Amino acid sequence: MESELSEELQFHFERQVEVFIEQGCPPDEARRRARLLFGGLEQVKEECRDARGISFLDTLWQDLPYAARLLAKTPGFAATAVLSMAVGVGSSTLASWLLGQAAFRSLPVKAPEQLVAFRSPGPHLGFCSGAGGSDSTCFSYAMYRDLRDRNTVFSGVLARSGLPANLTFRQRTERVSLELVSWNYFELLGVEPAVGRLFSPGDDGKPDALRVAVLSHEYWARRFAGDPAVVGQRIVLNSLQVTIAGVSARGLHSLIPGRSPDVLVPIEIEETLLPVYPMLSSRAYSAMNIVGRLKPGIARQRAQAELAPVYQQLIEEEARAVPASWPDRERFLSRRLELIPARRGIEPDVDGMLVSLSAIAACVLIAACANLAGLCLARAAARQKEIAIRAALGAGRGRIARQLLAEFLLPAVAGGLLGLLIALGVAGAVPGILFDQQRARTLSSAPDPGVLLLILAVPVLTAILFGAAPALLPALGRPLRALNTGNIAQLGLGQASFRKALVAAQVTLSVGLMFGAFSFSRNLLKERMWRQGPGKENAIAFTIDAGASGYYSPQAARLFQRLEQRLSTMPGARGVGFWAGGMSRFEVEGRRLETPEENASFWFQVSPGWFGAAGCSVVEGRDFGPEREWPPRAVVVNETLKRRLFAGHSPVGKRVRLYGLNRWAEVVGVVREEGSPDFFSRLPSVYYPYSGATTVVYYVRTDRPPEHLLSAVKGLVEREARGAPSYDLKTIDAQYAEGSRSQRVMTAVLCAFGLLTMALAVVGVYGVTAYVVTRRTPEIGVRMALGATAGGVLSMVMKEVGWMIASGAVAGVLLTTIGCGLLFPAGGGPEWGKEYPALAAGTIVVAAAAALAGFLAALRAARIEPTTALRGE
Amino acid sequence: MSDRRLDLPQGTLDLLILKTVALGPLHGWAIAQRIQQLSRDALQIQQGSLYPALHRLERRGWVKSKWGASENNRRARYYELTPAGGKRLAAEEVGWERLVAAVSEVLGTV
Repeated sequence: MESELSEELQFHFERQVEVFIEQGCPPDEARRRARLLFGGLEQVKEECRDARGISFLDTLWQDLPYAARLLAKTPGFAATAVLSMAVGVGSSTLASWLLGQAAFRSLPVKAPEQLVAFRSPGPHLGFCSGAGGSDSTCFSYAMYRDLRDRNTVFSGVLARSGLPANLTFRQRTERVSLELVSWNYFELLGVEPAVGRLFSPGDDGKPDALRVAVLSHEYWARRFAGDPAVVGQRIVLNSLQVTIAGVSARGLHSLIPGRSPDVLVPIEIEETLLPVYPMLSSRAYSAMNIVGRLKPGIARQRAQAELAPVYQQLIEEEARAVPASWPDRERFLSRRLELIPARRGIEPDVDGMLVSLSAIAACVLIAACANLAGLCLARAAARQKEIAIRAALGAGRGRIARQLLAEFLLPAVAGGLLGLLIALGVAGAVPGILFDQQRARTLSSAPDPGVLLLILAVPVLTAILFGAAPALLPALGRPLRALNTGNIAQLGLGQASFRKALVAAQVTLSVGLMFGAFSFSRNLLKERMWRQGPGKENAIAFTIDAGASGYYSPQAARLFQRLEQRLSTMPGARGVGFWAGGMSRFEVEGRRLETPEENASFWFQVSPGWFGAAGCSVVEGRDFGPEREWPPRAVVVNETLKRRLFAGHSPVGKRVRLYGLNRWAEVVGVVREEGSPDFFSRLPSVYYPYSGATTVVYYVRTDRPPEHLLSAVKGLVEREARGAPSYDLKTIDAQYAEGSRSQRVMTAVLCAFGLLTMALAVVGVYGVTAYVVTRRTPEIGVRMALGATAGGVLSMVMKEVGWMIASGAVAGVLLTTIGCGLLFPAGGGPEWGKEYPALAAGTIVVAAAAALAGFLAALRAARIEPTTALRGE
Repeated sequence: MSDRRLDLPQGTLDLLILKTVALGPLHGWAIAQRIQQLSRDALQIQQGSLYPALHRLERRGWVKSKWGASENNRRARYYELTPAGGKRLAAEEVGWERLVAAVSEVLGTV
């Protein structure tokens, strides 16, 4: 560009010289005259450049070093700006990455847009197992087979379910996550084997076909170190010997997003896998998710319409087997089959936590951009005279704007790159911190190009919108207009209101984040404080699934008792007990219980040692004693149930019955759980003697820090319970930690980012107030000369500060309220009645901090000497 | 060499340049010479005005430039009229004639 211009002008110059020489001038003279004629070469070049409208980037290239030098003069501000941008961009990048994966990534299978998931909301016959997905996507195996065989619209229909199991390999047993899949699973999805072979439809019906398993790629890499020699090895799943047929290729985890199974087995294996609970053949056991691949050219709606009569017929057939008195019969018959697109899996992977984290990251980014914009405006304000002079000397508006833009872009880009680098560095570890293990594994893939664009676009666009625009707009118009009217003092007053608006926005964001921080912190503290009660900390819990390993009920009972005895003699153990159970519907004699709150409670079968270990004391009536009968004759309830169901009157003597049983049990006592795990006492519970469950949870109270006893317990269980490993072996504290993981993460994030945003707002308030004071120094001087006190001046300045903070705080309260309403529609999140204190606290803290900063800046106003003020400018 | 210079308003210079290159591509020096020739030396375009004008015209898309060899085998940048430039030229000529006619009316020409 430059050299071409020079060359062109040089050519012209040479020709002119030639003309002069032709006319008889000596060469030197010719050159001199030509040079005179030419005028200022540089000026011509400059005008040409202007006429040409030189590209944006070229000027930027000149402006950047200048901007850099300016920034270097104020390292404090520069550091703040760069760091806050880094945090903003970094966290936004991570949030975009995670959200992008969860929201946009298609399943890594063949033609995912052809896949549809079956969905049918409504009541179920019998059990609906949590195999994955919600109740409405669970079907019985029989229903799957019927739909598979009676349709004309699918090129294939597969089913899947999930199950935990005990896996033994070379004497070591561990708990794994199984995925039960139909024979056509791999073929229909187009999944290839990494080594060995996978299931195929041809295996169906073959004699030994059931005794095979396929390892997931992730499990193979983790447990078998990616050794290809695993093919053909034998493993024991529960008590069943199977052979490893192969390993599936990397990519697909499960059709349920967030699930990362370890081993895949054919569905039919379930009956042999769980000898104690064979449920596959029953229509009353819905544990399958169904996914179909539409034939090419068939639309989803058409397939749904074609399947509707088939499904209707099947439902009616099923309903015939149910007694006419079933209350949900009508609703069951009105179930409809929906086909929902399943390109991303059976259910969406985006949950409230991801969305919240993204919102928080966005807030921080906006705050950082606003901060930077404010700083740039401050600079521009400080250099008004210089800008005005430049404008007078002929610098175009565009030129000035470009230079200011460079000053904004330099720290923005520097901070952004820094943030990006940090984000890339920690990206591997982040899913593990935020989510549980299985989900973390599914979220760790490298971003594909589409997601990458989103990742980069989001922070960049936000930065431009919230940073560059405010930085430029006010700085543009004023200098020139003011110069035209000759009113220098007018320069920059518009900037002040813009900056105030920016700071108010930062205050708004801070209020929102600090509210979140207070709210979550309060909840977390409540949990902690509650758990500091007596006996709650020193305990270990673990689960043992003996049924899976082939222990039938009497054997399991003997095993558990033996185990309990051995554990109680372990040094350090103060009490041992075990329990099993869950939520059940039940009846109370003589009462009609309508609502789910009333007619469902927790029924726990507990070992004799359990009350002692858990620290329960009988406060009314008696314990149920050593009787052991099923159905139980005597039960004990806790105080929560007494409160809920009997309004505080004594329930002793009343009779209750589990739904479906034919014998009533009498309530013989009421217990209070003082030392038991949290959830026991919060829920209305009925306790009855242990009656043969094969999966129980042990509770071991210790008289010393429980961490020391973990390995001893584990070893003892392994010795005593052959093939039935303990799992989820943790101290009680650790169990809570796991359960409250997402809460702790959110609290940490909110506190950190809330404080950061608040700090940015505080800095902003200080800067703007100081600026306003400087601007109005002459006016203040006059006022003081005319008799205004320091206090009066102070209050005048504070009024401006007050407006800024107040408007920001009010907007913050409003937006937070609306935002929470949107993010957590009724029932999903914090109850509003309890959250007002947190909102107030957040607002007050932010407002106070900002006011303090403003006050400190305003003090400068009070210290103004009238004479100096009036003299200077 | 007489130093008479008529001050040309910007638009007029554009018009002259467009007219000059309408007949074929010329480099900057030749354009200046041609204008001087055709105006019988009344108009001497200075480099300081010529080149910015050429660049401006190029940016507006009315001329386009190309590097080529000049008469004495030096590299020079040639400018030629584009179709859009042709339209502009026609419009400007009409405008100019109208302006001249109007001014003449006012002045009561001979």
